[in-house]
Amino acid sequence: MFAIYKRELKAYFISPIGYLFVGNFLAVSGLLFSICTLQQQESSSVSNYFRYLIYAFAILLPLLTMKSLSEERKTKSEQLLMTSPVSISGMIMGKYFASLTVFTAVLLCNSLNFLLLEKFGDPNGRLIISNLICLFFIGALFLAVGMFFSSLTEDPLVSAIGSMDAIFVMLAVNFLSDITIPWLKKIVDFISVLSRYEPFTYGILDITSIIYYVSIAAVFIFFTVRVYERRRWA
Amino acid sequence: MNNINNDKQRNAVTKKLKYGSLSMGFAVLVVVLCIAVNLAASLLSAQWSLRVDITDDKARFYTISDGTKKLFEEYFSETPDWHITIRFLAKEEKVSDNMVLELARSYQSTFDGHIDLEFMDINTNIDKWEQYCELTQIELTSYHVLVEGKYHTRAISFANFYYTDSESGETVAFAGEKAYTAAMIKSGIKENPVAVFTAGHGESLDNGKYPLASYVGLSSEQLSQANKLSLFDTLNDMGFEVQVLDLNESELPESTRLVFISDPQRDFMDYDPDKPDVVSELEMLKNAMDNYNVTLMVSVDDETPELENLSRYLSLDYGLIYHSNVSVTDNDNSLKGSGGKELLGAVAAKNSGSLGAQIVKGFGVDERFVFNNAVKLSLSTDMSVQGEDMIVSTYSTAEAEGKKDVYPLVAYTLQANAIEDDKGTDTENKEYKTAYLFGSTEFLSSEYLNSRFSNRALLESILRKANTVQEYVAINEVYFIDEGLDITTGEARGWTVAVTLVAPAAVFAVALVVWARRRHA
Repeated sequence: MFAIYKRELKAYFISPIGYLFVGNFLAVSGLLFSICTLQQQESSSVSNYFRYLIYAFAILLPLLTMKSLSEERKTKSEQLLMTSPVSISGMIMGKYFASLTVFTAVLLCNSLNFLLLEKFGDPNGRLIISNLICLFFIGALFLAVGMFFSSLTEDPLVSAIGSMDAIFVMLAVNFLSDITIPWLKKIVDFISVLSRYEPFTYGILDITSIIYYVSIAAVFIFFTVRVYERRRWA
Repeated sequence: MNNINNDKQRNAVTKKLKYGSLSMGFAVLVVVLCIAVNLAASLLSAQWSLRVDITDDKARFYTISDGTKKLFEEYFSETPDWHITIRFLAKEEKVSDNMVLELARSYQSTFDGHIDLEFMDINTNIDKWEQYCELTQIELTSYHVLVEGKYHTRAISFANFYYTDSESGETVAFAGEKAYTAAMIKSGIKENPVAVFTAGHGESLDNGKYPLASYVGLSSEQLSQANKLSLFDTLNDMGFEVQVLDLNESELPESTRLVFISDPQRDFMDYDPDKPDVVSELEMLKNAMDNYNVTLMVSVDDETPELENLSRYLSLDYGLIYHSNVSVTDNDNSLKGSGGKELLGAVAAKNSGSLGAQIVKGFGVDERFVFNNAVKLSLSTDMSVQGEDMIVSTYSTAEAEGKKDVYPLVAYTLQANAIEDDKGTDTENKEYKTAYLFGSTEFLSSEYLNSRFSNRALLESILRKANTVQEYVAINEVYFIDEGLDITTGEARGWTVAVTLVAPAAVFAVALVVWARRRHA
């Protein structure tokens, strides 16, 4: 698994795709950061920035995963991987953790922007950290979704669009949270990615939310493995 | 041969089915497991808190500052029997504001023996309740707390322990220590200095929102109840009795230490030779300024009309001039969306030893002040006026009458009054009279006083240095979440370009190099 992880990580940066992802992430995130904080001056809101960043993830993160499996299929190198002495789950996990590493590194680099808040204001550092922790888990979930869609097709574009749609649906569930039917509202709150994010905006690390993100990510990773298992035996 | 082929086909179908059904079974099992884990986590969370509050720093709300401790220790050493009772008007378990109660407990434990905490249910102690209402002139409820000292009893509403954002109405900060310490100081002082706001000339606060004429005659307590005006609250916190007086109808009390003229629309009466026996408003003011060590604060804006008598008085006696209807704007150093009207000011006083330098002594170079609808001010060059200077000025990007320059925003004059001895000759002792001119009436508005800008700090510093406050401890309110930024429009623009373009451009450049190298490899 580690060999796949290393190979995948390297692959991100010997081709322009990794740089394009990093560049786009920094540009979009920087713009959102400026709009929500610097440009707002006195009424700056770092919470709004994090919220918008989650929506930006829906577009940015599929760019990172769109090629990870579909490209292998397209170039027929998938056969090599499936017959190599590495388990399918090891191969998927290696690729997943490579994308997660790139995402985490960019998220951390991007966090340098918060030094500006320190320079011009008095931000609550712990609140920012709790938001970042949640963003990491949400990102991990979206990457798993992206991996799954990448395993379904050999066209990276289809994979990216499929992932974006799926992530948008996951986010759109939150818009139903205003419904007044109590049992339905409970269900919506239970499955909504954004509802689960709410406690982190107050600086509260909600373990149940973290379990939720990790478990859903695990389900999508599992599905990806099953797709490959089926293909291997087909 | 046919049999072998049939067997192979059958095996393949069986394997496919087997793995196919297993896959499906697995998938369903994992999904069910996932739901079960999340349900279990939710159930556990309902029973035991599965939440970690990493911002759990509530102790900061109940910590009493060194300033209060030092001040009270001085009281104890000078007056060993100095004693305060904090009295809640409900049973202990019925006190509705836990933060106010916790802070009171903190005072009690910190100053054990000097500060007591008591609870009185007003529903069962009607007589006592009536007595306290009479004493404080307030219709007391269980949402008030009393601070009883040697000379006075102060009632503080729970709402006055908090700062509210004037735009959103949200509670943004807890100012508990400020409220308690101020009330304790005031209840222990026999006679509080008086801050007089003039009325009768169309004066108002907060850009016309609060006409001062409607507050004439109200007591300090009633004023603080009447409206949540931060300027009144700040003065109260600093130990002043606030009064709103029409100088045509009332005289300035002898204990007046501050006279505030806020955005007058009509002129003040000056000496009228036809009525030699009538003491005019400006004569009364001059007399107070010369004899009572009064500080005068005048705020005007770009819509304040030219007022002949007042302008002449400010100009001739203090060298302070405002140019009616001449606006100062600044497109680079102003708040977003204000069209340059909500401009920012910076510390201007630099001469060490001057009053202005003393006022801004603790201020950093990046300290900023916000002004709205600022009017052009200038300082007279008349040699008969000495000691005038500015404390806050605009940046050089500010513009008035089509000219970019640095304009004064808060100007002052400090003059020495020689004190005469019994024989009527001047002694070497001197008292100082000070007048301040603010180029924006909104400078001291609730919105700006409660903002992240340093308007409140400047007001407090001016009042301390004006020698009008006997004892005052600078206590900061504790913000719940403070996200505001002290950043100018120009800086915001510059940093937006930096964070949005510079780093991504560098990454894209590397991507270009990688792509080119791979292409030519």
